[in-house]
Amino acid sequence: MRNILPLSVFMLVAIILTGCASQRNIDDVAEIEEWNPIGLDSDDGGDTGLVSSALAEGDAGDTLSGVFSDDEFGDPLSRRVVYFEYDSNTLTPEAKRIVEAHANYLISNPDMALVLEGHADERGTREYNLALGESRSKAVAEIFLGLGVNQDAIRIISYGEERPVDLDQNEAAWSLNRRVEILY
Amino acid sequence: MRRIRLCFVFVCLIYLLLPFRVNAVVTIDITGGLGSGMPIAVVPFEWQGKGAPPVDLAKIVTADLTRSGRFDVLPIRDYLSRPSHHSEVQFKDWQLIKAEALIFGRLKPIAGNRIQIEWQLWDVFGEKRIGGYAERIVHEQSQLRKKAHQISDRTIKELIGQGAEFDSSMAYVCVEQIASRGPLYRLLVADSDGFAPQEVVKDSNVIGSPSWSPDRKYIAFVSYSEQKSPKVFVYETATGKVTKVADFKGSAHAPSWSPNSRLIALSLSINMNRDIYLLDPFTKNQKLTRLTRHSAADTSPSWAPNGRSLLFTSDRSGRPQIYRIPVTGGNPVRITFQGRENSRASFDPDAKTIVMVTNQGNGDQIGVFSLSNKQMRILTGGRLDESPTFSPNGSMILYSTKRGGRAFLEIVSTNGRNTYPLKFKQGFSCHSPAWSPLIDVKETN
Repeated sequence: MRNILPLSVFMLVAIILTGCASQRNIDDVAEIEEWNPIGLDSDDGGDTGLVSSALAEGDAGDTLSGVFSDDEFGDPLSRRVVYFEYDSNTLTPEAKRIVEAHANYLISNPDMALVLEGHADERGTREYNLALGESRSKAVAEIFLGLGVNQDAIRIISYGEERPVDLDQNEAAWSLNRRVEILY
Repeated sequence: MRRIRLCFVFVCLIYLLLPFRVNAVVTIDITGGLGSGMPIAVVPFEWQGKGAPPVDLAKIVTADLTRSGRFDVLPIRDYLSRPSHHSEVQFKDWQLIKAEALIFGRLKPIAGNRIQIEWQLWDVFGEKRIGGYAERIVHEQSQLRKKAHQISDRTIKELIGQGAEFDSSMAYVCVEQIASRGPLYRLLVADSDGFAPQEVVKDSNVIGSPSWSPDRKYIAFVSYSEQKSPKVFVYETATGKVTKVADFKGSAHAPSWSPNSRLIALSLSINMNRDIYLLDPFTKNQKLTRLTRHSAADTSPSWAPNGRSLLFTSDRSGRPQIYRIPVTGGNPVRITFQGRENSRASFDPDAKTIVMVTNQGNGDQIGVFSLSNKQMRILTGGRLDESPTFSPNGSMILYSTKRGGRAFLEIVSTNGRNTYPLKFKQGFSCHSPAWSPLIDVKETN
């Protein structure tokens, strides 16, 4: 069973980070001229610089953080990470619910944009995992597009196994690393 | 007298080092029928200068020959004499300990901080000199390791007809976690035994998948330095210049140079579809040719030595497996059917076998697949072994493994007899190795 505590901490950190990053991403979006179906001209969503600078800004109380409720497991919009099975890009019903909530949020907030950052666990080769993370991001992107989200509002990038959230070498860690992060 | 004492200290040192080295070597017996390697004696080279010798050539040669899996270097404590010149050789001493071949030599400091090397390779039972040279001058001490690798190369050529291996280098990526600023990625180039690492590219963004051009002029690699999508960059070895190639929209993975050093095969995602492409990085508009067309993800292209076909990894069957496609395109042929997953394959220099990462239910291990009998030999025992790369003439495979969340590089002899772990700086996690072509074939004598 997944341990709730690390997950909660991770979710909280993810919410703070993505919340902080939102302003920058919105600025970036203005520079995008067309939907790039290659999908990979995303911004610095996974850059190491993001983490440090976002934390330093410390403006956790911006609009997005206000929108999302404190109830991390009740409101799908408060979830920013969807998880996958081993070597799979299939979304679970729960993951779909989360993605659909973000899609609806994006439709009602057309000036928002996000990055779908795909990740894989360390099993399998690095190169294959880059492709796998990408196909997970694509699977999430397709739901957004299917619900009518503007192509300009989403971009995808994969880091494969390069950026694990849990460095342990066991199924609990791997299940947290097989993910797509929805980064506003 | 001084020399004898020095020699004694020297022998003690070697003796002290040996158990460690032997313990570090894990022998995986693949078939149980491989037998032993050729017994050979490598006498510590005599140093005719003051103090300790600048480099222990015999130790480097011993490590090289052992790593190849083709030799059993006899322990120095068994040597009944220690010649440094052919006039001192007593063949009976070596026949008695069943050494089939003998290496010895000496180093002498000469004016101008230069060193004179002399070495010889003898057939012990034929009582015949089969290699070596006299009075070769080395201008810099840093060149001594290279000379040792050339001695190893000459030895394997004369004794087993094997092409040179050791006068080569390796490129790989190391990641260092720095508390204040996150990960730091380095692209490094080191000697074929992991010594003398040189940092060639450094970035806080992800670096991966280095690939040597066969002419050794370039190393292609993947970089996330644009912070948008991964692109392929080329490092020019002579100048250190780094240039972006494949400047297309979309994310580029897994570059691989063609045997003629003219084209780069790579995995490129265009229109949400990842396929294998061929790129001409030297033409002005960088001509791009699409090689595969499939909705599944195709990656890790790798050229056949004759340049007429490529291997790649695709999950078109549901799980990653190895496929082969002609360089002119057409229908890919699936190569691997055994095991749950097989990926990142490459040919040996003779194109008789393919090395790959295989998962047969025990995690990711390095396997060598014979194209003739379709059998897979598993060479490693880890669960997260990957990125295998053949030595220039195929007697060894360099790969990465993981222990305690960190990646390391190891070399396994292709016959499975010896595994050699490489040492890295504390805190470094090193992966994605690429064994270079030979530095200079002509110089190996």
